[in-house]
Order: sequence, then C-alpha cells, then structure tokens
Amino acid sequence: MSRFFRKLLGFILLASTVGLVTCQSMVKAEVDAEISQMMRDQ
Amino acid sequence: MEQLPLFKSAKAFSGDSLRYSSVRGLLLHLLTLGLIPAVIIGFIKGHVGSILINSAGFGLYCLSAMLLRKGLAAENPNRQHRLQAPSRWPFKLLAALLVAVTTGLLAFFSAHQAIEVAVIYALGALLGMYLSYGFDQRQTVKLADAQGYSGEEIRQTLAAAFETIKTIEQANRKILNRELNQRLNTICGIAEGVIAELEADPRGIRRARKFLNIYLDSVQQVVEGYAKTHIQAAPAELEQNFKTALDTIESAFQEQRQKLLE
Repeated sequence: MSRFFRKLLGFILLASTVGLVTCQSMVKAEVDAEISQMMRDQ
Repeated sequence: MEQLPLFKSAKAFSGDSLRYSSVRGLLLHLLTLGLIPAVIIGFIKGHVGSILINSAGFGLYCLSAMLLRKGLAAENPNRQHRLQAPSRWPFKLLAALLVAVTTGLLAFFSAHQAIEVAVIYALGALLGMYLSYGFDQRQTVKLADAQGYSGEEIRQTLAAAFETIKTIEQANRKILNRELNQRLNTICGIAEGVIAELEADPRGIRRARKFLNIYLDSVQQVVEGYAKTHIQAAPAELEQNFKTALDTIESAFQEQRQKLLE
C-alpha cells in the first residue's frame, strides 16, 4: 500500500471513529439534557 | 565590520523552531473540538454526567495529542538524532492506545453505544492512529568497535559531541555580528564533518577523542562566555581577542580534520 493511501485510510478511520464519537457525544448531551429536563418537569 | 541592529525580539531561523511548530498531529485536536460544545451543553442544562464524561474525554484526547507530537518530534531523522539513544517511552504507541481507550469509553458512556460497538470504535481509532502516524521506531546507528572502544561508547561520544555543537550554535544565535556568526558556522561545520567521518569510519576515534571531548568543550565555554558579555556591551578589545581565538580554533579544527583524513 502506498504511503499516500495508507495516510488517507488512517485519516478516514480517525475521522469516522474519533470525529463521529465526539459528534455523537455532543448530540447525546443535548438529548440527555432534554430527557432529564422532561423527567424533572413530570 | 558589519554590525547587525539590536532587535531583541528577532531570532535567527533554526530547524528546531520549524520542528516544534510542525502541524503534524494537530488532526487529533481538530477532531475532538466537538466535545467542547458537549461540555457547554452539559453546563447549560445542568447535566453533571455529560460535563464530567465529555471534559475527561477532551482532556485525554489533548494528552494523546501532546504525546503524539512528542513522539513525532523525536523522529527527526538528522544525524544528531540518529546518534542519540532512543527515548525510554514509546510516545506514539502510548498516544494511539490512549486515543483508542478514550474513543471506546466515550462511545460507551457518552454516545451510549453497545459495548461491542464501543470496542469496534476503539479498534478503528487504534488502526487509524497506526496508519496515520505509525508507531515508534526505536533504533539508533550501530557503529563498529574500533581501537579498543565499543560501538556503543563511540556512539555516546559522537552524540555528546553533537550536543556540544548544538549548544555552540545556540550561543552563536545570541551573537549579533554577521562576521562572527559566519565564522562560528564554519567551525561548527568542520566539527560536524569530523563527526560524520568518524561515524562512517570509527577507526580514528582514539585520535579524535581529545578533539571531541576537550576542544569542543573549550570552544563551547569561550563562545557562551562571549555571547553573554556581547549582550551587555562588548569592548572592541574583547571582540578582537574573540576573533583571534576563533582563528586559532578554526585552524586547529581544520588540522584535526586533516589528520583524520590521512
């Protein structure tokens, strides 16, 4: 595998794992907070 | 004589500054920026769990990025670095493992993924780190035994000599006189040439040890002393004495190099 494709694959893997998990954390933080709020309201 | 103006903030360019300002390894910082709004949302909505998990994740990613950049900086392929003993810590491997663990923990605790999915995330991140940056290459130059000295002793002597040259070059950057800078660069170039020749053929090590251990240390002391005095205000007599000393040093270094070539 050439150096370029190796780096590209590494970048894709990092972006799709680390990047995705941080984005999911952000979305879940919003959702979790809303669920907590709803439960408190009830 | 050509005197440079005294701009205190201006620094001569060196490869070291470029090395430390390299953008390699910044990708991790970029990818983890999403955790900052996650922590802020946690604060706004008063969700303690979200604040703790996401801020811990962000901290661990930052630590990984620091380790990674340290590992990348240690890979500079110049001769001095090749002669130095490898670092005790495999920084790049540690960074990759930390990224993998943090990604797995965040996927499980923060993104609420199943444990199997979190493990896949962790393995993906580990593979991504390996493919992007590789792991640490812990190898140094292997030198042959010569003149009763082991290859390791010779490597240590040459690495120490390179360290001294680096200190001389640092002191040279503090001297704001182009003529003296050029002469010191020439002297450092000759010394590096001697080391390169010894690395290629260490049989002259016995003859060169005095040069590497005593001459270079003396030059370091003289140059550092002058650099300190020069910042305060060097009288013309001191400058002349320094120039005479540089003449002597340069001819002694040339002579030493010539002896090694014979």
